[in-house]
Amino acid sequence: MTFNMDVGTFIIAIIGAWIAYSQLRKINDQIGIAVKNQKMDSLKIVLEIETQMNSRKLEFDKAAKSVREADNKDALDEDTLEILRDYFNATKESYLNALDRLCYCIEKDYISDKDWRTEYRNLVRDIISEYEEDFGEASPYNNIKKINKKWQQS
Amino acid sequence: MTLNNVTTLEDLREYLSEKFESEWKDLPVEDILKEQDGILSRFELSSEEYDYAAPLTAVMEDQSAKKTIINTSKAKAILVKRK
Repeated sequence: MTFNMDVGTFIIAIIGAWIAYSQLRKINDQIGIAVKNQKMDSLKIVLEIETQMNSRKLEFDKAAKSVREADNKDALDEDTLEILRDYFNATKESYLNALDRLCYCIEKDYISDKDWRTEYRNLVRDIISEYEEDFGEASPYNNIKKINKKWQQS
Repeated sequence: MTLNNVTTLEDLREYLSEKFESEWKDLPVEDILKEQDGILSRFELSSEEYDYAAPLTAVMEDQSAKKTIINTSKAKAILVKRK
């Protein structure tokens, strides 16, 4: 009788262990899928931001080209100058906003710092250096400043 | 050379160079950057040391932005001069 109970307990324990193992495996698989999905989501965010940055950079380039062409043709009267200056400043702001958004995502760990540091470290430094008037105390581009400080120190 | 044998910055640079030649050459640029960074991040490097040890870094975005910076800087100079 005791032997039968021990065998029964053993079998139940085996079944219990198998169920627990099976459940743990399922949970593990689900975590794996969740991690993979999260990576894909991060990648989508980055690609979206990079697409935005690229299109805004092109627009900024076009604005600069318009200024240079007008200057080259001696066509910069007061009205044209004002139009081109506004266009140039608007496209610059748009580009810096996109870069600031990328830096925000890195700063808040939505995307991996180490994955983007190599590609963007010099870009961020050069942008701040060239447009330092936009990165003063009252600058709206705090995320760019924070990431630059972090990247240049490490 | 293995990663365990890396003791100096020059070793690290050589190690990465060998990796590139033997394993990474045909990978997409993004993958090479990630592989390199995965190794470089294990060491405490200054930005200069990082750049030195990773001479193969293909900073495509950076190069592209440099041209934008040159172009827009010239335009900015015109606008400032004509203010």
